[in-house]
Amino acid sequence: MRWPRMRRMLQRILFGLTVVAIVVISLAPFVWQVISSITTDRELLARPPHWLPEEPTLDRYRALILGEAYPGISPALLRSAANFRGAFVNSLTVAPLTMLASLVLGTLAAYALTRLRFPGRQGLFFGILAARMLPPISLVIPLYLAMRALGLMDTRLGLGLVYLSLTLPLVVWIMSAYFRSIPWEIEEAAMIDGCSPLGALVRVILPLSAPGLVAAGVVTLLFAWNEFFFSLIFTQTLASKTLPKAISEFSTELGAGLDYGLVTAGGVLTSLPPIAIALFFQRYLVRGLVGGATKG
Amino acid sequence: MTQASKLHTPRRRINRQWLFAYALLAPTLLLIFIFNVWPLVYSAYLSLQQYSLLFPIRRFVGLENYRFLFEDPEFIAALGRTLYFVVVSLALETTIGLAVALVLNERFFGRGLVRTIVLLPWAIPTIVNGVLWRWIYQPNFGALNGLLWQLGIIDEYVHWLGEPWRAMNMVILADAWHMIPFYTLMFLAGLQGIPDSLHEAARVDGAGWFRRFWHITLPLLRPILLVILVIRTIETFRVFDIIYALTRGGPGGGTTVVGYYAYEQAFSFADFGMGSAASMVITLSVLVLAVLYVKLLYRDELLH
Repeated sequence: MRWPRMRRMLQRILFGLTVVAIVVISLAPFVWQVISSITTDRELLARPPHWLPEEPTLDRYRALILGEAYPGISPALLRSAANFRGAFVNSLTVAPLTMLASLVLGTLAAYALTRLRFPGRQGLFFGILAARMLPPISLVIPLYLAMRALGLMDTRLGLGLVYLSLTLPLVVWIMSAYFRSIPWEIEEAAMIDGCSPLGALVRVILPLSAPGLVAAGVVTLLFAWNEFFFSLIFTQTLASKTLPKAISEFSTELGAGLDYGLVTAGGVLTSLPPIAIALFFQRYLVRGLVGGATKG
Repeated sequence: MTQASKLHTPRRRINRQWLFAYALLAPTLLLIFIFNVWPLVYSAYLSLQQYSLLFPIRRFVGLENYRFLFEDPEFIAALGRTLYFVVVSLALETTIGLAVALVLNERFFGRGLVRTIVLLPWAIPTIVNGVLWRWIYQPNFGALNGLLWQLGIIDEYVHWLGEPWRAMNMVILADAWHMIPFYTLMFLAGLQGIPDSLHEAARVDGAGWFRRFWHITLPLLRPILLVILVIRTIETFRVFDIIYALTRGGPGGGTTVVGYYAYEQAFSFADFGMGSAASMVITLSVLVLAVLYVKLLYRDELLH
């Protein structure tokens, strides 16, 4: 008589433990990054590690954000820290502008592809989708040669244009799925009331597909903020270097004696914006990723 | 007169619509052409040339670069490592991602919060994830060594990235932590599309959890599973960032996958011909997968 109840309770406990394990594993590495970033250099070299710092410090954040030196920081390291600020500004310029341009151009393209009839429509749609599959490595060598020839090397414009071309297929994909889910009749009614096709798009269709715009915006913003490969090759100085590239250099400029303290602090600062965006727009993110894949 | 104008108007309107459509598409098509199509074609062209900054002469060599590639044991090994990376990553990530999604699909207190937390690793930039795990794997002061040693699982600190195969597996683990949320997110969306009534009906008929999972959940998740698998196959086939951050292809080339091999040819050895040839091999492999992808998607859309 008691057995089924015991079993149910045991099942519940096991389930609870699983949930706890999922949460802990999801959080632990990032939490460790935060803890390491506020642990002094001396304590970072403890064996076994100090799981909680005895004398927490914000020195590294001060160095990264304000460019202030702290005891024990080498001149080279301080220079890297100062670079970080410049890279932050670059990322803050390139990512949002890429997103805006991509949303505007991608939405217009998606509108044409889903609402207008013209020869080559299907082919162009699949052609744009296929561009999304191209591995960056197959584009990078010609682009490298071309950008060097055109003086676009190490400029934010050059990097931004590459990002724009890479995010457009994504925006077209997501927005097309949205436009297709909006019934024709709504648009026809607007046009009968005297709207031009463009007017119908702006006044009627766009407001209805606002969630799609947010989804496409979030996915594009995250891509441009996080992208590393093209930044590694196309940016060299603070004229265009973005955060992922700056972070990767904390770990090389110093050779074997890698300054993990500064790397973790920089990592936390670089991760916070995308984490905030992803968590805040979580609902839209799901739609952005799934909306285009399987229209449900 | 009236006849003619009647005939004319629609055709002119259609033509105007064409023009309008092409005008809307022009910026997107132009950008994709300049930054995607042209580089791809030019890359194919470069792959047929001897073009290295170390040799003064740039000349057409036909398929010579490809022959060299497939005779280079290092390239063949890189292909093998890439396949290993793809297969193990996909198996591991799909299994865990689906399991987590199944747990988070149950009703429990705080589910919304847990679903949000689970997303966190995915939002971290790949390169930050790489340096973070390099710190965790650090042989002398790293957290993984410290934790396992304190738990008594290891007696001595381990050089996690010090041996080829172990390094490869550790890279896969670090990448899995980062990417599993993507699977969970997709699977959860798929699970939410399955009506409760199906499970209820099966339960009434006496089907246990496993049978319901096997005969109801899994078949209905098939479309989304296919989408995930193909997207991730394409992504893992060209993996680069995490390798660059964690091992730079080392130790002793043990984590040099094709993406890293091509990068080294072009940007470490300044051999654009060989780099292009290697990247064309990647592109062709991915293209085959992409065609498969579009076909599967297309068929899926027809089903709907």
